Amino acid sequence: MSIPGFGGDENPVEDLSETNATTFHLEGKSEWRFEVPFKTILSLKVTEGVGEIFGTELPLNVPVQLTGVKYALYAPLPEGCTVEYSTRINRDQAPGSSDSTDISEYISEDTPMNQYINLHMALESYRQETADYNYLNPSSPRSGPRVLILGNRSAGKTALARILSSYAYKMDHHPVLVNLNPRDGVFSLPGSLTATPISDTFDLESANGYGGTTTSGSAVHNPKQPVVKNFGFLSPTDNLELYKYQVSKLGVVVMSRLEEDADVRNSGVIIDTPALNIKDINVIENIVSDFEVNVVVVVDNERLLIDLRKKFKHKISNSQLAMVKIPKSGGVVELDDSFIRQCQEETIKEYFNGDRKTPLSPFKTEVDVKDFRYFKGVLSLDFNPSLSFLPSGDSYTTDDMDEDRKKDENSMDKFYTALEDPDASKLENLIIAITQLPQNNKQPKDLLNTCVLGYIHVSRVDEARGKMKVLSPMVAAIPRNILLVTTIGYTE
Amino acid sequence: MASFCSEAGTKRGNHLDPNAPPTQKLPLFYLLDSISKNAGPPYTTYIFPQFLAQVYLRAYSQVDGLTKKKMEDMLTTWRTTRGAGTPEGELFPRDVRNHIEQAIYGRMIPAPMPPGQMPMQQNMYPPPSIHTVPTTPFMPTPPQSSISMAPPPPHSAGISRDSVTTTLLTTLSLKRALLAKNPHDTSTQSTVGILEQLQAHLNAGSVSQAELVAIQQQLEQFRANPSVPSFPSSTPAMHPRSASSSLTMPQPVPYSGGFSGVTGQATQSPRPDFSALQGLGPLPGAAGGASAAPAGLDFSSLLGNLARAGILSHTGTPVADGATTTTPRLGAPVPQIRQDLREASVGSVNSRADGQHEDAQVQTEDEPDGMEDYEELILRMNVQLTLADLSQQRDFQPTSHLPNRCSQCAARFAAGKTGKDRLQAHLDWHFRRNRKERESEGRGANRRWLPRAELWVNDIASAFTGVRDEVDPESTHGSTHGMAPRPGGSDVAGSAVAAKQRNTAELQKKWVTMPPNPAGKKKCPICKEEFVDEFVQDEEEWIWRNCVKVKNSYYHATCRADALATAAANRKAVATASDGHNLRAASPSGTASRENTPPASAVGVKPETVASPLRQSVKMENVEQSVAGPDKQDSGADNVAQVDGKLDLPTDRVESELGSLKRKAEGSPEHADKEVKKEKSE
Repeated sequence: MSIPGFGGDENPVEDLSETNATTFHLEGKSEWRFEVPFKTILSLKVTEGVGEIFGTELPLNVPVQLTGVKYALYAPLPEGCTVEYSTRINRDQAPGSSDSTDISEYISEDTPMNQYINLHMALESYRQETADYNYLNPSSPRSGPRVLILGNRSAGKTALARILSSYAYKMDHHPVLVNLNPRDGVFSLPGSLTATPISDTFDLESANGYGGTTTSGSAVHNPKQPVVKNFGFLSPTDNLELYKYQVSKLGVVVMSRLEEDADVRNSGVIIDTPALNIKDINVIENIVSDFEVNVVVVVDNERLLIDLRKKFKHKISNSQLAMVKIPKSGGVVELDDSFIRQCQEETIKEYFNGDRKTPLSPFKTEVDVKDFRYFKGVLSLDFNPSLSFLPSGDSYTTDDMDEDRKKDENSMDKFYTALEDPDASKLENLIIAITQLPQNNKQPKDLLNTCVLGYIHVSRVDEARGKMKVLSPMVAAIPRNILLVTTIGYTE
Repeated sequence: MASFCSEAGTKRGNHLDPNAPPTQKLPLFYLLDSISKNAGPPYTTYIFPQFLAQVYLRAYSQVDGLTKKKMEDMLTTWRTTRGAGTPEGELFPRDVRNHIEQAIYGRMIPAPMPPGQMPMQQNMYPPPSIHTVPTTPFMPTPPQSSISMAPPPPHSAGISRDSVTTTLLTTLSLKRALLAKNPHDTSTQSTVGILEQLQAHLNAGSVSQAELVAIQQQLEQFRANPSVPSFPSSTPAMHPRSASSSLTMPQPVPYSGGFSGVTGQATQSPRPDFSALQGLGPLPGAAGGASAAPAGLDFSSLLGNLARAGILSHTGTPVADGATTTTPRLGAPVPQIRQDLREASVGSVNSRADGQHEDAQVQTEDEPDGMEDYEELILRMNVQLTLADLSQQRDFQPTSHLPNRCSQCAARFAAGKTGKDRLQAHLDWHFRRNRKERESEGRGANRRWLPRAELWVNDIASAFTGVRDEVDPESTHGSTHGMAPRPGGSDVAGSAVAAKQRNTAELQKKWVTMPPNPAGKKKCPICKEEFVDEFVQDEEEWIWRNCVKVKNSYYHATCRADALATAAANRKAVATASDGHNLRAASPSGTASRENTPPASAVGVKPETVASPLRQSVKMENVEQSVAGPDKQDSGADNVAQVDGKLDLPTDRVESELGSLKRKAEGSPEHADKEVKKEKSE
């Protein structure tokens, strides 16, 4: 029977290419770790019990289609859960390459989920205390926990951030998930720094497993509404100054949201970061003060924890900051660059074209190159070439930069430069961020403070005619705002 | 000062690290005092009150007698210094000061006393341990005669509260002295108990003139007859009674409303009384004492009078309270705070007994939800942020209190009716989502632009509509609408959503008479659902509800509004994003003649094609007007959108979108305009 609107049998999974259907029972407190290559689609459903992927619970008997993921399905209840899955070829992916289409999977009983859930409980009691306090003292409200997650590359920071946000949402809290890793586009494109109040479960089926932003159509999940700062590079070290600047600007916005929004305020903030170590202490210090962090979770890096304890001794002794180390999951896999690259491409593709459930219609148009003003981020190495001659291992220090800063307080030279004569080599096949700033704006500083309105992609520049072919998410004229050219490449 | 400032950021008193040695506390307090008196707000209204009581009491418990005295002097000046902390013009908010005073003086606020009347108590601050000595259960609240506390401000002329308070305190101290000499004198004990209740009542504020007179008269009697008959000390059961009534500080504050706040903080702050109570807990006959009646005749008559007047609860009550309410607070402070919270939410607590009664009521109302239990459990577990504590195995399922699971997306909801209702609302939301998804199939949706930071900060209502807080079953588009970037600086998402809901209700009231031969017209072209035939007696007609007739097609009024709103929002986003100037420049006729002349397109047209000759045009009325009034004046280009089916468009998708928009909008302009006008007039 089809209940109108619920579409039960309206989208039957094409089972022509389904090669197999496997059912197994996952014991309680253990997790099933699986890797699905991009060329394969894994159709997964929990038929009994409770199973969650990074804290996001799977609905019973509703298949979830996953591709290009390295996930773990955890059974939180002692009775475990029954899982059924099948695989099929992903026809959207270009065939030919030698990548395997097989999924790899195994069951592990050794997971740190207990610690992660306990960490969630600790945050939960903090939130409850905050809510109680704010109830009694409505005139001087406090904020819920502001959690900063630090750790090495491939330590499971992002998974932890997702677990904590998912669980918080499950308990009817709406924390702001802040992503400071420009490598991942969280509710946005790579190269951005975002903050998003978690108002629904994550969309596991979306390209990066978070979900999309609002569309004019409907989405299966309540769309999230992020605020996006454009960084434009994939690694913070490409321009550390710009990175820090954007982080602190994002911090200001998030803290204002916390002031305005009681729901979000009681829930707090969860901050995911790129791999920062003690050499990046000034970045960490910035983040801690910009987001008023009061809980630092270090994933499996004893050394970093000790060093940070020393650095923040004062704050810790004043109980302003709690710091805890948490073990890394044995299931974390090293992501190779090509996988990361493919994830980024999928994220970009999804931004313009939507996903299987909610296809979107992007808009291709041709515009005059000269109609727009372009800026691009400055690579630190380009700005200060002497840096490239630093002995290896020596870190980039800001001391000598301070003089520059004094010299030209209002200069943006080390952040952005105007692209005076945009040509094919500077625009083609790149993602361009549309800022919220109208073209006629004369204050260079504003460019640093603005957020992203959306992204376009330049597929071809016809230099002879002075035109460029642009892919825009909106069926609309491209806003005459200042454009920021990123270094993120993409080809359709 | 650094330590203060930093302590301000701490969340709880018990996390405070008393890093300054006791001898250096006083200068810091003087600094705080100086800042408060010279700088004033926000220090006195916002910053200091957050932690002042905790810090003060902690320091107070650590310093020596002389410093205590100095701190008390300072406290006295806070009472007299004018400031912005309270409506009465005190330096700090009154509940902060009350809290401190209650904690250090007990519940008694001593009046000025002739020096030397009780010289042995000058500067004598018994350490907490003394409270546990059963023979002097009344000692914890010695009159602080050395500090002259101004009594609460008088409320009325005639017999002022001040004078009554003074009389009362004098009497009380006399009785206490008497009791000190003869601790087993039950009659004196009960007198003291009564007096203390009276005093609490007086301090609480609203005492009527008549009551004051009554109290004054009774007090005169007491004073006239100081030699209360001394009973043999054969009733040890009475000890805990007077002890607890003096220790637990029965909260007199129902009138001031600060009750829960004070207790809540008090529970967190280190207070000597707790340890004292702990010592008293196991005393024999604690419960038995509760029922014992006071001995002295005049006291009981006074008590009867007062009880009848509703001023005092029955004698036994404070004792029972002391035993039952306060003791569990020691073991599990958290539920008590939450109980206080509930009391606060109830609003009025007439007496302890009533308060408890109301507690019970509130609890039963909330119980099915299970959330209260969960919240208390969470707080009691109090997982510490240490690796050891995080690694502990806890037999606890974080989702066990959320048994209602959505079958579609596994969102979880609480037990009981509340949870079921929310699950139902959530399922409705899914339903509408899915229906909308089907509607939009083939029409091609777009990714929206992202909000400006200023809008995002205030994007409160819209972010959570849809899943969590949506109650109205037809406010589907409220969320998407609110999320669309708006041209104005201020976001009116909330009001827009409300307006939208009203609007939807009105849309649903629309109906048309069923056409003579309904075949082929029975389905709404947007949602493909059939109209429901309904016979209306008043009209003597078969009608379709929630239906509008546009030209020769019938639509669901809500579907149509939805579709139009989506299109309008798209246009708006375009206009917003592009400064609108290119669009408006290209559509000079847009506002001038809305009837026939086709203005330039705002939907999916390349800028360079806008100026091309327009061959065929249709016009859509603007739902935006009825949907989001504030934006009405926005632009002509927004008000009227035109779609040229023959424009050379780059992709098939876009073409199909335009086609569908066109189909949708295929109403006669006259009719559409009438509809708009009708909606506006409504």
